[in-house]
Amino acid sequence: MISRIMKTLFASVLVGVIAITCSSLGAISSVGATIGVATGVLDERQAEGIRRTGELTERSFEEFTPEQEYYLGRAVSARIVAEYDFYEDEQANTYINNIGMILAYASDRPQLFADYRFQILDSDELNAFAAPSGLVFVTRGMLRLAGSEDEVASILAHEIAHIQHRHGLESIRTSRVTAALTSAALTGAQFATSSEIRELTAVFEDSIDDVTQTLFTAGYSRRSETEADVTAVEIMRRVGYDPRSLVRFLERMQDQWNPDGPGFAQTHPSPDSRINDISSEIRPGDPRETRGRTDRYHRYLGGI
Amino acid sequence: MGKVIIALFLFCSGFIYGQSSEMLSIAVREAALRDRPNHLSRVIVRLNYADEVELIDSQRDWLRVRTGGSEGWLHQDAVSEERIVLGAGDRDVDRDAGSREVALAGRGFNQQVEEEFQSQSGLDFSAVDRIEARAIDLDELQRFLEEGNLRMPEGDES
Repeated sequence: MISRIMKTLFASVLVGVIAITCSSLGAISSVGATIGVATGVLDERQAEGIRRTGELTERSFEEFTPEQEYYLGRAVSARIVAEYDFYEDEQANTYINNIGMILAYASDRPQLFADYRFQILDSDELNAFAAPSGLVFVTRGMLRLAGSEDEVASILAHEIAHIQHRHGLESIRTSRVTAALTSAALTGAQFATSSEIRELTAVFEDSIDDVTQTLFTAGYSRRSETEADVTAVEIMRRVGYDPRSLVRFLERMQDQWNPDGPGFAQTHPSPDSRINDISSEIRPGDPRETRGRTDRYHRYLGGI
Repeated sequence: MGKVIIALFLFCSGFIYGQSSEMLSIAVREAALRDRPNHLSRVIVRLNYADEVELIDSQRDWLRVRTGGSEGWLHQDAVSEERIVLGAGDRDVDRDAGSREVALAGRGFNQQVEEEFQSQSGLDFSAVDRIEARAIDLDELQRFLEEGNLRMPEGDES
């Protein structure tokens, strides 16, 4: 990695110099200013860092483009899919896609590189996953535990919130983020050599490991879980789902809670503590569950 | 040295004076141009990655844009101010990169990296492709919304 960077150092510094020179000329339109300085090429900070020290400037996961996020998310999805079978009931999957798409479109991140989609996993485990590319997976066990459409919506809204806040990407180690983004800056859209692509693929694989380890065993931080719950409440409120149903669902989870059990118990704070963290978010005027929606839940997911 | 400075000046000024209206590039795989600032509203036309649109107006998170003969609304996350030019040989769309444009698309983790990863890991992506390909029927989604007493906030609402 480093040797290649040294080789391309001259070219990159030149791009950086052009970028800085352009900026110093002042009146640059927002479109024009993106040349060279844009995310994915070189920013001034990085150009300066490489020029001064020959070292990499630390980069943040927030700089991943939606396209890079998409490819990371696809590989994470492939890892999830490798661990579970699909529940192949077309009506049930359409039903959760309808609920999920409404929530995703009402979120603060309705537009990803590719669209959101939702898939039921054929497992009794209590679990749900969000891949950064927009695929959300939920187990039969989880949907069975939910007692209403609004509770199902609370599960999906929580997962959409993880995608909105890019919690998956946040779990990738900074060294890998820096290596990936710097490589993206220094190579073209097509890789010049097979060693270039092998190096970046190794970083890619390590990044996927970080995300899947977070999803399967380590869990997001407590802060991220609270943020996802608070955001889920807000998304549900916007479209008319009852945010209290998140609390109701967490109460059901608490009844089933086995701290040593598989799935959610390993990766999430206890339901009681999550209820504690979000109950102040519920407002008196929030929408209420309706009989019609709960009937619909029983119609599509009653037998799950 | 003097020639270099002149070249740099011309290079930069091209961007200042070359653009009379603000052009944006589609930065997602496919973007729906809609007749209202709402994700459930009618799709006028579907735009592809790297297509260019002209910005006319904006309303919160939505942009009113013009492209070809059509005008409509795009969510702001669907576009980039950076000119996106797909490199020659890119498998999504083949398009010539103009001389003064920078190919920002497809850098870093991309289709090529996925293919290399796939061949090394042996992971199967076909099930992922299948979920991604699931069609969403907007009319059905609208019915589902109404039947469930739900609502989709418009772009001009908070």
